[in-house]
Amino acid sequence: MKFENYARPQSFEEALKLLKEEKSSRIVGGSTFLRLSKKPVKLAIDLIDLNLDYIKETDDEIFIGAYTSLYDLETNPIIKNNFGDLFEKALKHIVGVQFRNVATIGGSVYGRYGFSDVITALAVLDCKVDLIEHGLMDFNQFILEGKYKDIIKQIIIKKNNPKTSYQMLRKSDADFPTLTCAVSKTDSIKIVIGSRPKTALHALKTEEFLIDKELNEENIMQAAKLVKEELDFGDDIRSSQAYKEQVVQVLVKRALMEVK
Amino acid sequence: MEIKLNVNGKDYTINIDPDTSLLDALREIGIRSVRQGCDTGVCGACTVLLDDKPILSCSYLAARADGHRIITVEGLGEEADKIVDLIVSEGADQCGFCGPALVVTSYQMKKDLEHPTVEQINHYLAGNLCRCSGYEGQLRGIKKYMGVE
Repeated sequence: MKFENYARPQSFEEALKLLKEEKSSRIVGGSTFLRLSKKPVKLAIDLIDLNLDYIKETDDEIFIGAYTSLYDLETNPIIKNNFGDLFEKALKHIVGVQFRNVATIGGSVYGRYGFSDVITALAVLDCKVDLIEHGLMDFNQFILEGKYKDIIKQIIIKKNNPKTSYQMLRKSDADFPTLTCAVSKTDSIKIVIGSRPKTALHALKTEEFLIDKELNEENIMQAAKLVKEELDFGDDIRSSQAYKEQVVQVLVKRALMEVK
Repeated sequence: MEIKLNVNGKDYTINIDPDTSLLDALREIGIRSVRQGCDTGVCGACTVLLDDKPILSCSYLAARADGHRIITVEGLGEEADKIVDLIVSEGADQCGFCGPALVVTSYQMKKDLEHPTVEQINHYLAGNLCRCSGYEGQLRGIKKYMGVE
């Protein structure tokens, strides 16, 4: 990414003002993906001085600052204590440690990339996005509704002790995923599929089907088939639609077996 | 714009364009061990330590590095020699292009992983690509450095 000017605002208000005033402006997160863009930008806004690199917890919630690196998310004990190996499994195959030390959770979420392992993992949790202008927004609503000219301050996850599973298929380590699947189980079961190749989505009908159902082999097989039928898949550089439709059933089955 | 970088314990004040990468800034001040490989954030040949974390200098803004402590292979002193000797003793390095970044990452890996397994070592080094050695010899040398058989 080429840009003419660089700003380091000292407050959220100043950052939002800069973003609104200059049409051709971008918030720079980790800039690992943004930098590959050929589109020139007038103003790059860096939030590095706003202390958004943190993972902290209260009795009920976990707060993850937008500038927290993917490697910190992968290795942080608070995250591991509450969500097991969900994030470790989701993130450890993203390029290398030196990449994940630069890429941020805020940049990954704001970009709403279809291939994002981070979004797939977050979407199965009880999770909110905290924006400067729009305030708290349900994570899945943010992902579905499209880009806002706003700034993510933090991600807030409710501590509700879920059992989780993360499954994915990659052609090789460190490649983009061909398909991703996350499942969480609390009182209910949540299933999210990413790299379809569109942005990650909940399999809502399947989640409804599984309410009050025992996770036995028959129901799991039925659920895997339902996911394939209710979500739309497409061709991309890594696989065909037909291939993704077969693979998703395997990933869902593995994930449900793991949380049962 | 003017920034201050502390590289291998030495302070530099340099003028850069706002969109200059840390990689370009380091090469501009003569640190040529930091290599431009893929320049897309994949190969790891540009790895440096920023405040004791391995990062891709091609993907990191020089402006953001202002005031931070940067270590390249030149700043590792005898520890770099130790790693290099172990790799060379396994007949591993060929063209050497990826070598400095591999040494820098291995150095930090030893600090980050207390009781490493082979799997953890392989995982930590997954972001350092080599296109001529095939990795086996390098890994033999690095496993010795990490105290893993």
